[in-house]
Amino acid sequence: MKRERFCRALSVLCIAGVLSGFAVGCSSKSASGTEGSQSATVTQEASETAKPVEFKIVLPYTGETPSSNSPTEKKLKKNSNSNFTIEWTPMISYADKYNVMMNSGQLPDVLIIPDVKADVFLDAAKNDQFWELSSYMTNDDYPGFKNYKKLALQNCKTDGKLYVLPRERILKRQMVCYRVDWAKEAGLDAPDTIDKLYKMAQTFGKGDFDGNGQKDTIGLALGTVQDNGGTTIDNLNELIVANGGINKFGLKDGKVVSTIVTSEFKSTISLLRRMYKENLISKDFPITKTTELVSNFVDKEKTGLWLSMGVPGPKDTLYLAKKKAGKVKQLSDMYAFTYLKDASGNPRSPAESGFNGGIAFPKSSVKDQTRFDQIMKVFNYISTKDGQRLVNNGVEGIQYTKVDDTHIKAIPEDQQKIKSTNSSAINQMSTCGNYAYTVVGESLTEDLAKARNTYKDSELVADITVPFTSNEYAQNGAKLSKLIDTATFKYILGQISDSDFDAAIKQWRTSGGDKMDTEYTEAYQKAQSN
Amino acid sequence: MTSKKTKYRGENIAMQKRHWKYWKYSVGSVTFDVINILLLLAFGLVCLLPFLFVIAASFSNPTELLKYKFFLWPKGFTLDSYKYVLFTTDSVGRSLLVSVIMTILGTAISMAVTSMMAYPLAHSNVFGFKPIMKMVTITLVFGGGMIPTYLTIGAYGMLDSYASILLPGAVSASSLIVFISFFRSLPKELEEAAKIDGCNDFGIFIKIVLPTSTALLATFTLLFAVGNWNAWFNYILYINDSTKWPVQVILRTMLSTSNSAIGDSLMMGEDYVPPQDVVRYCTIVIATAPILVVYPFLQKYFTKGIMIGSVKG
Repeated sequence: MKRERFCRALSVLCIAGVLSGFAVGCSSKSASGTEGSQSATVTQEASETAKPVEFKIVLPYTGETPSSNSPTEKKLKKNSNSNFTIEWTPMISYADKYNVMMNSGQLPDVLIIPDVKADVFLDAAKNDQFWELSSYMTNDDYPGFKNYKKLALQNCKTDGKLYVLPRERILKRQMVCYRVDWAKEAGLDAPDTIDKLYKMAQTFGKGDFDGNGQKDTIGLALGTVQDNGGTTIDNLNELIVANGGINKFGLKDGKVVSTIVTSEFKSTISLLRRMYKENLISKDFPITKTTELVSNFVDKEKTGLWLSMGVPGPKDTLYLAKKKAGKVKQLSDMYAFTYLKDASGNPRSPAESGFNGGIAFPKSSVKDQTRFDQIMKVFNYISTKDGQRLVNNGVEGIQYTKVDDTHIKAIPEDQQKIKSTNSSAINQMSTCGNYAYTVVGESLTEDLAKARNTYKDSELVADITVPFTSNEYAQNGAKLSKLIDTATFKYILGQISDSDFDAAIKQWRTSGGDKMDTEYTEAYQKAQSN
Repeated sequence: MTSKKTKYRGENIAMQKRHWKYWKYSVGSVTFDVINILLLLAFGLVCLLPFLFVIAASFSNPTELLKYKFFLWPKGFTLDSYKYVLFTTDSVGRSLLVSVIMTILGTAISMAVTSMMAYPLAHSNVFGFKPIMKMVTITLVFGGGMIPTYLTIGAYGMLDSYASILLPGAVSASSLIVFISFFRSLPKELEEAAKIDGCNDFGIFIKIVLPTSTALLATFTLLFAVGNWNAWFNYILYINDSTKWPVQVILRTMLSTSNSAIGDSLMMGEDYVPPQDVVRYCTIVIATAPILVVYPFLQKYFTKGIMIGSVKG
C-alpha cells in the first residue's frame, strides 16, 4: 500500500515536471505574439498624435535594481508623451548583453552603445543598420538638440555621419585625490605637480598615518580599468600629460603618433617603476579595480593618495564613521582634490572625449519614419532644459529642493515622499548636461563642480583621434593594448629590464602600432584638407 | 604471537583488545593517521572560517566592522542590516521567491527527464539506441557558444520567458551517462522477475528501478538543486524583466564592482557608492542559507538506497 502511494506520488511529480515545462514553453509563444501585435498597433497610432509613443529601451544600471515606481520615470513619460519600457541590465553584464543583441539581431528600439569606435558598432553603422541623426540637430522642430556641445557631436561621428546621440560628460575629469588631514599633519600642500606627488607618496608611504602602529600605509594607490581588451592603469594619462606628454594620440611633426612611442610615456612608467621599487605603490595594483579603490583602500585607511575621477561623497563609510565619532565636520576636512600642473606650473590635464557612449536607434526595430520621429521627440524633450533637469536631478520636491536657479539640495533616499529604489538610474538615458542643476551640500563637491567647469582651452590636451576611426584599431586594437599593457605592468613591477621594455614597445610598433598611427595621420590630414 | 586454542572465533580479537601486546596498529600507521587528520582538519578550517566570518559580520554593527579585520563572533549584534536587505529593498524578498520556485521546478524537470531518458538507454537493444547515444556524446564534447545558443533559443520563441532557463538545460549529457551506467549496474534478475509477474516497462521503472536508485536520485537532486540555485547569467541574458530575476543576480550586482567606466553619470555629486560591506555579507548569507538547510535532510538518502537482500539465491 505504501509503495503504491509512493509510485503514484512519483509519477504525478514526473508528469507535473514535464507538463510544467510544456506550459511554460507554450506561454512564451503568446508573449512573442503580443509583441508582434504591439508594433502593428503603434503604426496605427502614428496617425493619432495624441497617443503616447511606445518603445523599448535597454539600460545598464549600477547598485540596486531600479524599481518600477520611480517618480522620475513617471514624470518623464507624462511630459514627453511616451510610454516606454526599460529593460534594466546589470552594468557588469552589459557588455555581454550588448554583444549578444548586436550579433543576434534581436535589438530593442533604443539601446546604449558603449564604444562607438569598436568593430561591432562600426560594421553595423556602415551597413546602414541605424538611423542617421545629423538632420535632427539642425531641425527647428527639435530645439533641444541645440543644447549639445559641438565637441561632443563632432567626436562621436562615424565617417562624418551621426548615428548616435552622445551622452555628454565633463571634459576635465582626471585628478588626484588625497587625505587633506594627513597632508596637514605632514606639513604638505596640494600635490599638483609630479614632484609634489612623488614627495607626498614618499611621506605617506614611509609614515604611519592610520595610527595602527605600523608603517604599512601605501604611498600612492593605483587601480586598473578595462580598456579595449587590455587592463591599464586608470588615469595614467594625467601623469603622462603632466610630464609634458600627449593624451593617447597627439601631433608630432605634423603626424599623428601614439603616446606609447613618446619619451614622456617611458619617463612616466620609469617613475612608477622607481616608486614601486621604493615600496610606495600598492603591491597588487595590477589586480585592483579602480572602482574598489575607495571602498577597499581609502575607507580602510590603507592609503591617503590616489588617482581618481571623482571624490568620495557624503555617503562614504569612513567619513560617516569619523563624523559620528565627532572627529570631522565636513567632507573637506578629510578629503581634497587637485588637478595636475606641468613642470613650469601651468595647469595641464587630459581632456575626455566629451561623451560616454551614445544612444542609437536600430532600423530593424524602428521601421517606420513617423514612429522614429516620435521617439526622437522624446529624446528632444530629454535634451531641453526641463528634460535635462528631470533626467539628471529628479523630480522637484521628491528628490531635491531648489536652492536657487542653478543649485539644488538633494533629499536622501530614505526621506523621499515616494519610496522607490535607485530612481536616479534613469540618468543613463540623459543626453546633454549644460542645464543640469548643481547639487549643494558638501563644500568639497561644490568646489569640484566649479573646478571642473573652469578651465582655459589651452589647459586641456585632447586626444585628436577621437573623431576618426582606424581599421587597425578596430581589428587589432585589443591585441595591441594587451601587448603593451602586459609589458607596462611587468616593467613597473620590476620583472623585466629596460631593454626588454624597449623591445616590447618596438614589437608594439611593428605588429600594428605604426600602421595605426599612419591610418590616423591619413584620416587627420584628410579632415584638415576638407 | 602465541597461538592459543580458542573456543570461538572472536575470542582472539577480544584478547587482542585487552592485551597491549596485540595492539593492531604500528607506529607508522599512527603517524600517518595523525598527519592525515591534521591536514584535513586544517583544510576544513580554511574552508569553514571565512564563511563563519561572513555570518558573524552580517550580524554586526557596520562601524565596528571597520575596526576589526577578522572575527568569528558578531561585534555589536544587530539585526538592522537584515531588516534593511529583506524589507526596504523589495528586490531581495521577491527574488528569493523566484529562486526557490525555479530551483524546485528546474530540479523536478531535470530529474524526471534525465531518469526517463536514461532507463531505456540502459538497454543496448532498444530501438534507436546507437543514433541517440551518438547525439548525446556529441553534446558532451561540443557546445554552440553564447550567441548561437541565443539565436537557437530565440528561434524556438522561448526568449523572455522562464522556458529558456528550464528547458534547454534540463538534461546534461554527463549526468545522463552516470544515470545510464547506474541503471546498467542494477541486476537484470530484478527486471526479469517483475516481467514474469506481468509488469510492463513503465511499471518496472516506477515500481522497481526508481525505489532501488534512491542513492543516485538523492545525489543528483542535490546536484541539480545547487546548479539551479546558483544560476544567474542565463537570467540576465534571456529574461528582460528585472522583477523576474533570482537572488543570485542581486548578489552578483552587489558584490562585483564594474570594471568599465560606462556606469558613470553626469551627476557626479552623488557618485555610486558600493553598498556597505555588512549589506553584502547579509545578502551572501541569505543567498546560501537555503541550500545549506536542505543538504542535511538529503544526506540520509545517500546510504538508504543500498540494495539489501533484493536478490536471493
